[in-house]
Amino acid sequence: MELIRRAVLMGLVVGAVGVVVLFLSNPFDSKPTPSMSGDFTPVAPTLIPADGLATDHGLGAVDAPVVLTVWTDYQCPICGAWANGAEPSLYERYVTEGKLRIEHRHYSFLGEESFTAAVGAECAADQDLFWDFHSYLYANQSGENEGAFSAERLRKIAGAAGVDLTAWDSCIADPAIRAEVEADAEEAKSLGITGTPTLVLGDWMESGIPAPEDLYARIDAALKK
Amino acid sequence: MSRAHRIGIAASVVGVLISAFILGEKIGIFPEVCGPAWGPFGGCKTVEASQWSSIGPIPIAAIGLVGSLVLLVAAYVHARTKREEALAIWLLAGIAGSAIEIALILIQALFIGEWCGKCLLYGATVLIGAAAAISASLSYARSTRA
Repeated sequence: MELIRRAVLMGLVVGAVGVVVLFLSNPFDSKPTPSMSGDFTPVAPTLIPADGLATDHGLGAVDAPVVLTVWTDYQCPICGAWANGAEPSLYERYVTEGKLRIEHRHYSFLGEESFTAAVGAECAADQDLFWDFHSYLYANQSGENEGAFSAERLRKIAGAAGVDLTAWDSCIADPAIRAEVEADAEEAKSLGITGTPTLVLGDWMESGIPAPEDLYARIDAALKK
Repeated sequence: MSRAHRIGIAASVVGVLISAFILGEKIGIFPEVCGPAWGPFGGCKTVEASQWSSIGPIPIAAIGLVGSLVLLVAAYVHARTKREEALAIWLLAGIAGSAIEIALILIQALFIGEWCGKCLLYGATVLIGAAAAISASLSYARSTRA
């Protein structure tokens, strides 16, 4: 019985150590997170593209030899990790060199706020500010369908991204824009895309965020073709 | 084989399968399962993409898989051999695993604000496995006293 008593004690100690390690290895996130209260101030994105590098729905030279198409949902946290982590790396490594263009496509499926955010992005695109708005959206993600992309907050995000709000307000009310976003989602489904982010480079298509070295190798291989 | 052993082994087999699946999702072997169709428990993407889904480079699902395998093997060995050492390992793993699982459930509620249905199911297997280990230990204590 002594062994069993010791096992109980050891179990409690190991459990307590495990919980402490869990918390120590994950200190409370120091990254500024957007407030969900009324006095919301949008957090600025990490990636601010140089003049002329963000055009239409893409980032990078229009005649870049390699085009990476990325299907995302604005509420998908892994897409947020892509936009706030992987994309800035690709920007520094390839986009600024004129080697790569990243084209964004909407696959909105996580709920109503995904659609309203994508509609807002399309209306920002009408003012040539798609990428600015897109980056602000990902910098201000917070949960899913909990108000992070409510009409009021989207308007503040649009303002922070430099969008002309009068034109944007009338644009987002246009049902044709919503239809475009829904058509994008249907196209994603027809291509067999089942999750986000999904990356497409030539014949290669993959969901999730690949290891950086794998992605770099694919881009390097495409550049050699 | 006692009822506690059968329940403990069954819970751990389910735990191994769920944690292996979550790990497979994390490393891209399996497609993601979970989402709006899971209702209030559909926040798996948020939970699995959160900083709490790994300790350093080690995914929590990998730690869970190892933990459930230890629970399974210890429960099975004790059921077959009645060795006190196996019962001690079963109990130790059950208690330690339960403490960590309770912390992870609280983290979903208090820090992430989303529920991952699969993760909760996995947590239930650990708690059931621990309860079975405690039950087997009490039976063992009674038998040694008699």
